[in-house]
Amino acid sequence: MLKYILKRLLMMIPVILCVAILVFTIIYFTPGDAAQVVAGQGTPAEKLDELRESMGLNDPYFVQLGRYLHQVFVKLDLGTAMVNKTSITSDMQARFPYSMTLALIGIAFAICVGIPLGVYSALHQNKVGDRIAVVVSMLGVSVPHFWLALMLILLFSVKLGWLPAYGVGGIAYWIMPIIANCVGGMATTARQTRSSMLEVIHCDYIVTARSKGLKQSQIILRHMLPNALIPIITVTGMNFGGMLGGGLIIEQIFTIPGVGFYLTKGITQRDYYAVMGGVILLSVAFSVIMLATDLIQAFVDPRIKAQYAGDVKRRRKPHAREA
Amino acid sequence: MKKICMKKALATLMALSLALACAACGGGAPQAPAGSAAATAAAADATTTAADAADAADAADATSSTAGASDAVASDAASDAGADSGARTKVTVGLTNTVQTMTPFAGLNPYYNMILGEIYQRLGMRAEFGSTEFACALMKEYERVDPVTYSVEIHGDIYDSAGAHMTAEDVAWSLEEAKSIGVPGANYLESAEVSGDYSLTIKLINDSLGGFETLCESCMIITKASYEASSDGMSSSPVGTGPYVLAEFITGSKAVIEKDGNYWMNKSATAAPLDCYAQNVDVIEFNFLTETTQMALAVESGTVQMGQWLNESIVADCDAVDGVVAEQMESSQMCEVLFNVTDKSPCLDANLRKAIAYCVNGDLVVQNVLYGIGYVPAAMGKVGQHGNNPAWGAEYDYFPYDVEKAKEFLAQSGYNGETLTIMIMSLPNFVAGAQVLQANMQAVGINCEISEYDDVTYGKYQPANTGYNYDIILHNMSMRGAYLIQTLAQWFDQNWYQDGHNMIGMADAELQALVDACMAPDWTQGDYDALYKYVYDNCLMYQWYANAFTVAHPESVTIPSCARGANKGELLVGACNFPADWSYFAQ
Repeated sequence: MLKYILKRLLMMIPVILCVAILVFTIIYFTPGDAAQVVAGQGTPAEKLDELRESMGLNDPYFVQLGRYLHQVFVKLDLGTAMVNKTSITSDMQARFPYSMTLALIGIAFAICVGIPLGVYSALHQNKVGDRIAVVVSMLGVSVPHFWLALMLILLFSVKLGWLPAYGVGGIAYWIMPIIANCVGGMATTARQTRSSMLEVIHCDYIVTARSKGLKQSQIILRHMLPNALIPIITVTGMNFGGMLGGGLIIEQIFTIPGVGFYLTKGITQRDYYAVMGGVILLSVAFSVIMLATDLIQAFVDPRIKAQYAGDVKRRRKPHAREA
Repeated sequence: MKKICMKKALATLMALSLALACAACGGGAPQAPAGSAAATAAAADATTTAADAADAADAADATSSTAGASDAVASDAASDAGADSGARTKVTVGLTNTVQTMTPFAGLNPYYNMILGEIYQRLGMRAEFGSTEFACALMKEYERVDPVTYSVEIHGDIYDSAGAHMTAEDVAWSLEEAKSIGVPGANYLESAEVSGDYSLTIKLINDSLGGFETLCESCMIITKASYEASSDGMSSSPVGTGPYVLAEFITGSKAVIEKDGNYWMNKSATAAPLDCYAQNVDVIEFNFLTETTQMALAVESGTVQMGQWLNESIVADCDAVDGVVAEQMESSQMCEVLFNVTDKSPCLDANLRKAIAYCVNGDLVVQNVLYGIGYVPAAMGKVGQHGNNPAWGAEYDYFPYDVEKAKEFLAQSGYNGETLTIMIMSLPNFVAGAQVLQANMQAVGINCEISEYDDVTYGKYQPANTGYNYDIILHNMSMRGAYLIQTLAQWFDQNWYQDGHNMIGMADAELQALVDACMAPDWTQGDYDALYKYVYDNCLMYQWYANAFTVAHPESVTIPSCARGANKGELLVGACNFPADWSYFAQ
């Protein structure tokens, strides 16, 4: 298992490197002038030339790319934001915990509500409860985050005055952003759970378990859910990544100073370096989440574990013969 | 039966959703802001023993089940308590943009200046927005030795909020640092040499008009010792000499500043406190509300008492709140119509340019694009800049909307039905404005199309002579700078671009001579009048409409002119006048 983790960790390196190269290349070839962003509109051409030279923007593409990669991966420095002239690494350190909190609690809610809802729906297929759950899930998937966020603010902050409308602070500040952020994921999880459960619900081993007189709860927890869990874990992993990177609208609406908000500001201010830093950080986070997802899958599904074990045994066999 | 049940369930669900949406959309009763008649009455009613206040606070805590809500409610209760106990007054301000760093070298972003302008100070600046008077702040006095050399003396008893004593060395270091970091305006500096404990000699790179004033206004001055003691270049822990100090800063979310009890200007033997650096409120909390809807809701609900630089679309909503006024003030922003005056464009023809200027309905733009928040200027230029002549408005008929006149000029022009390209930045106001312009032009028979650009690429394609194909540009210009020519030079000075043409593509000796005369240290008003006449007669540029700087605030709060920062008209909240019965207090 350790080797598997190590292998996956090593596989992350080229992925992140590719992301960095891709982001740099896209921004490099995007029309526009980083020097102008720094100097502002109306700066004389002579000054802009000086600035371009000092920023190394006149160097060839590969020189600039190499310098950037060296800075990011060797010095572990994401650079300095062009507009605010702050260290992007420090900015990310300050902001990442907010995004992580939002995504972590969001995914926890999505799991806690989505899976039971999906299970209930599958067990009561085509009954009223199932229909309601399906409609609720459909609404959850289709309602835009920003609309839901604004409706929540109008209701709970403006109308009822129960919750603060924006900012960060105590638990109350997190309730609405988390709900707005996790409703989509919750609905997706519920829908995936329902369909996965329906696949296993009529399997022979479930019929056997029932005929053995096992309790319904035992059948669900020991036989149905573990077998239905693999696609749910995949979806949950994707949702987690989506919540982490895709929380930018929620962060903006609720004025949560997370990475998403930082990225939005970077994009609107044309701060290329800030955008590159944010995207690289999110790609690293996404890769780690996907790794964790795969590990959980291997842990939950004996077939994946066996597949890995089989792979190891196959490699060991020739050595055994030689001996 | 089953189907009927299903339908009922579905109908119930839909009804619930509808009810939720309706409940959310229904306007809540707006909370009267502090200082308003309603709030004053409420405060009077709630009088006002400490015990009552404590009860109120308890009640508030009991009714609100969450910490956040209790923050809001408790602040009201605390206000009652504060009224009796002499607690510190507080104002919560909503800003429509974020401030991500507190570094003194962040430049001239007006949002930054609203906060940093209270924490740091400059050598000097124009006393207030719309004024040409230059006032000393950290400087005691200055003398112009020659066109590029200035002798400066600072006050001898300046201390920053950490207690560090400021000397001439700190000033020289701050200026050099600003220059090396690339703070706009600091590029006028050639060198700053210390000549005494509190005196230094500042050399400029050239004798450019307004260079010294711009340098002084652009650079925040700090002590080197405090800067070096800061681990992050004061990005999150600023130490300045201003009237307020930073108490809390959550990047991208909020910043809280509070009155500096040891503010040097209050104790100085030589410096008279400046009105713009007043400490009229003890604590100022800035909330960064980049979402327009959030800002409107925050003003409506009274979460923020002052909403600054409101988007035009929410001004009416904020103004409708009981006890709140959305005050429109002059901003430095001006939208201009610029022409491509090269042989690549039909706009080389002055009659066509005038036809376009006359066909533009400025009022329509103000009403439809700016929601009525703004005005149509009567002349080119802005008050508060040297060289601007208020008489121009009466002397010249500044291209009023006149379709007949536009058609006359069009008939005199050599226009042959070509399709003109209007180049704009891809921003909502420009798009809407360009559409109005397009409709106006087509109404008199001028064909045109709109070409949108991202703001970065827009800057690259701007100079008319670099071969890019456009005929008209809509541009938003900040009319800052101590002298009008500092703004106009960007369009008309042929030395601005390396190819010898100005931005609108002209290489005109007569125009350049006029520009040079205005830029000379011994300029006269006659020089500016002559330049104005030339630009007007040839219709080289047409200032179309001016945006307004709108602040929503309680009726009882007044904004004196000294509270407007000279550079971009940013609002210095500490200098605003708060009523004696202000009922918001820091906890």
